[in-house]
Amino acid sequence: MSVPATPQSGFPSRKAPLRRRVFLALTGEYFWFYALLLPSILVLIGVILIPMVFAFQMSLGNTNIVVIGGKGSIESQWVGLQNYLSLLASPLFWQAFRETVYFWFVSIVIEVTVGIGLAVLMNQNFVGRKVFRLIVFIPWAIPTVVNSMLWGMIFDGDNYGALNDLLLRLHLISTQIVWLNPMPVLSQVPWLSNMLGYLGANTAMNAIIVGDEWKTLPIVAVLVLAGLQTIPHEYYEAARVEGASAWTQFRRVTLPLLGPILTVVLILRTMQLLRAFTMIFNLEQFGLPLLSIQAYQQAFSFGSFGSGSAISFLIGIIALLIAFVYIKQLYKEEM
Amino acid sequence: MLKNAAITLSAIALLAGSILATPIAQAATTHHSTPKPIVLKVLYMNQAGYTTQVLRQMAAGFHQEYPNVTVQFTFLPYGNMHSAILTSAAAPNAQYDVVLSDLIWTGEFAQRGYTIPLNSYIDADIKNPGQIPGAVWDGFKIGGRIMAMPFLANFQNFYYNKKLLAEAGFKSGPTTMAQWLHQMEVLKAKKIVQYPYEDSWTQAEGLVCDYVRTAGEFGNGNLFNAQGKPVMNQGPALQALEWMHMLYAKGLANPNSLTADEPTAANAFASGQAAFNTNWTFVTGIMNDKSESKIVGDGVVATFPVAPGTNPMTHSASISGFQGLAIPANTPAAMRPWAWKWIQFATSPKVQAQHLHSQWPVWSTVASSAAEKRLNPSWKVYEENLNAVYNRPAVANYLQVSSIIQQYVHEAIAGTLSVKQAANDMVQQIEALN
Amino acid sequence: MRFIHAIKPRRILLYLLVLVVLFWTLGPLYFLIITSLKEYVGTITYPLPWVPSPFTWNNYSIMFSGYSPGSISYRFLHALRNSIVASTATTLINLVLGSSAAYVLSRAPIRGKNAISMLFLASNLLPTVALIIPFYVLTVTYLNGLQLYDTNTLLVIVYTSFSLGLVIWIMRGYFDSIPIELEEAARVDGCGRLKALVRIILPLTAPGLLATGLLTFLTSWDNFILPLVLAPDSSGYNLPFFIYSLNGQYLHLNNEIAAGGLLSSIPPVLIVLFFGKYIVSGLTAGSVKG
Repeated sequence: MSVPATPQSGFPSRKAPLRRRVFLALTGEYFWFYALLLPSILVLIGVILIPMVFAFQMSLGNTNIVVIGGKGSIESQWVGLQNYLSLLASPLFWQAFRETVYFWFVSIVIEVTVGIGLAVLMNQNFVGRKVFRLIVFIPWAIPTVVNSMLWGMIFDGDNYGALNDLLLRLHLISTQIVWLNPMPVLSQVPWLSNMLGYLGANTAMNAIIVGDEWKTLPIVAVLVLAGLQTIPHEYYEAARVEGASAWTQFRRVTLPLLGPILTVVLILRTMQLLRAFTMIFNLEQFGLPLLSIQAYQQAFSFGSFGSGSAISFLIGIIALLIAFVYIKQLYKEEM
Repeated sequence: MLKNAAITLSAIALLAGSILATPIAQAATTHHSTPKPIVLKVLYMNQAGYTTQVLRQMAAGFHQEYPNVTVQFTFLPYGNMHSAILTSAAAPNAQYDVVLSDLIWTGEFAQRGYTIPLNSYIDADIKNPGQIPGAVWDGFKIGGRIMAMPFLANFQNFYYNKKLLAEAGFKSGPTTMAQWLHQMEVLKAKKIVQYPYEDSWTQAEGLVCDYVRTAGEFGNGNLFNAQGKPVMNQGPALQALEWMHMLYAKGLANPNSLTADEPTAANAFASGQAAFNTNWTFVTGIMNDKSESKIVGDGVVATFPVAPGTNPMTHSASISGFQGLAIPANTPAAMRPWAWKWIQFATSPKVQAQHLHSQWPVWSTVASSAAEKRLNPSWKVYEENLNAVYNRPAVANYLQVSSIIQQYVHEAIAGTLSVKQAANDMVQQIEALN
Repeated sequence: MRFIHAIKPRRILLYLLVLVVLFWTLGPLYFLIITSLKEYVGTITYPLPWVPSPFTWNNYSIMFSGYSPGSISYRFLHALRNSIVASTATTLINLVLGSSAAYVLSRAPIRGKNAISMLFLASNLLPTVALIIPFYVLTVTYLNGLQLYDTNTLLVIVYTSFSLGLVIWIMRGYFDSIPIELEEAARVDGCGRLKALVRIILPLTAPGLLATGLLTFLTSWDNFILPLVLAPDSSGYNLPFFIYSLNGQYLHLNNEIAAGGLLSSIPPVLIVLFFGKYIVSGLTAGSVKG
């Protein structure tokens, strides 16, 4: 941060009397500061904080749509923490919670490993590297709904589904696989299959993660590549002089210096942590009830705005907790 | 630093809370004498049958009759229709003056008061309600209140591919469940098709339809008894679950059924990969359309096979997917007469007779007209299946009930739960709702 | 890594990996393109034709076949217009609001500004679905008098609130990287604070403005759940919602969906191909300042 430690000339000291500070706030230098900052603050309050508080208020009631005398409205009967308690007691909620965490965790692992690998590949010298880098970036630009539809066609469970057709032609499978049906994985090993199923793994979930990664890996790889390019070549030279192998170089030089970039990647992906809505809604409707899907279903299908709000409020709290951990990491030096 | 953030956050939250505590006064809406021209907002669905194209033609006809009224459509996918009606009901004034209402929403809309009963309009203006089959009225009636005017008589037919059946040595389709099973087994054994049957068993409303219909084929498609208790763990409903699981386990039903919806199942049939399809009336059009079908001329529309001794009156068992037109409760009073005029127009025998190629009409007079018989050689089968429909349960919390049914029927078919276990869990979960 | 040149098998492995990545990236795209050029029958045929067969341009031409209300081309063009208007408006508003706020948070000795920065970033990390229910209820009840439901205006407001945090975060990084002396020199020469900002500082942050602007545009263009709930009707829907609504109850016209999907992908793909490196530098700028 480049905020100067000493107050600039012309600014009142923080210890100045309140009245003087208010006076200055309304005039001269400070006026511009507040005038420029205020609109964003208003947006923050009006469109983020008020809805958050309102969601909490709704979640404390049995909140339903009523139409009285030809006028529709939403009425709420206070039930306290009832909505939260019944959620926490519901196995479906915990299953959804585990599935949501599974989705996020597996995605992150793939992105960090494959993403770095892809970036290292893009950083090599080979014919057509420039074009290759551009091509790899394209899927990130495809809108999520289009991506969902595309992977819906690829994972189509009929034998004319693209993936099934390909595998059947190559004789890798003898009969089509219904990719988007949530079936247990690795069913040959029952205990492992049960454990993975408990943690949220199933064929549909894995297929959706693959489809989602097609769109997401490029931005991760390109960001990591940008990070790789900022690492001075001398570091590698020095490491090689000391006799470090390629792997050691990677582990000792590359990885530590990629730290900040990986933080950005984590933040970008956390933005989507509980957002896995679009693809699942398009491909599974309510058949794979992650938290976001459940919140939507409760509110907009069952009309139970109370329990819908309770779920979304919990999602919000979890997201904010994670966000604060990241941000703390980001501003570490100041803490 | 975090402490600072926390203080700021809670201060702002307090501020926000105090703002919320004083509701913004809702702008009073005043209605002047009927303004001209009038825009009538109608919610409709993208679908086969009465397509968006047909609806626009109807609207043009209406505009001719009432030049001051323009019909403005909102076309949504089925999956979004209920949410749209629900969310519109929450507003002081409705987003739509007329909505398309699926019969499964009848109970909910009646109990929660989202739409108004149409009895007074129907009593005044529909001179011959007897010409709409009782089964169709029943879909929209609850406690004597008629919540929607029947618009579209959708139901399921039994479809088979006579060419594939002939290859297996069968001259005609099955009439009993045992025959049907036998035909499927022979088709599979002779490797004429890999999977003789495909149905729409993805975890969605279509699965409930197939479940109810199958229970009907075993003698009774009512999932709740007369006392309103769920009975999926006994009798025909349980037999239906066993049957569906058996078809999947024996590889008689395409495993893709588990993620297939109705159009996907229809594709499997129209592409000649499945010999049987149990699906809505739209398949009749698809299987004979060269641009969508590879089995033109081979598809046969039939009544459903049923277990022997059951359904003696009808010799079939089908499932209703009727759609009606309804007026939301928060449609402004000034608009209601126009809303009804549109409903009356769109559902009239005259207009339905103009669109016979699109949809089976709700009026028996139109259905048995010479024009319909000419257009639809299977009209007799249609009539029999329509008379044999079962309705899905008319309960106020239907969507919650349905989502439980979907989940457990799906698990029972896929075998992730035993049939018995799934049926019991289903009943238990539904009872816990109340 | 020059040592790779010396060893041949590594070189082969390298090109093999490149091919694998190309297949992974281009395979689905190729499939989408051929699907968009097929007649419907070609999408349900087994074995699946891997060339557009039977071939047709029809799926594209129906998207541009006039503007009669309710037709597929009307809905496409309407959605296209809505997407362009909403994304552009969101981008412009965000740049003005966001860079102003970022400038203050970078320069002004206001107490608690780091906390405010964090709040903004945190607001950006909040999932849409956590706010969609209260948004919706507020719009149709307390704020119903404003008639915002199912309008592009509402979408612009909510898009703005969801991307403002990221804009502020990235732009603050850019402002921090500009030496304060530059600004002071300008002000000694007689520029006011605002003038110094507009004349001296903003041009220096142009790459940042471009990056955040494009990011905002892409995010708004991509949004699905907000239009699904807040603008599903006749007037407010955008391109993703249009693509979704092509799935009728009894129709899966994959060929039309593919064509519509490809058309709606053209603007973001062009942005990424031509300006991708700015977006990347914008996103990394946020990380290096740490």
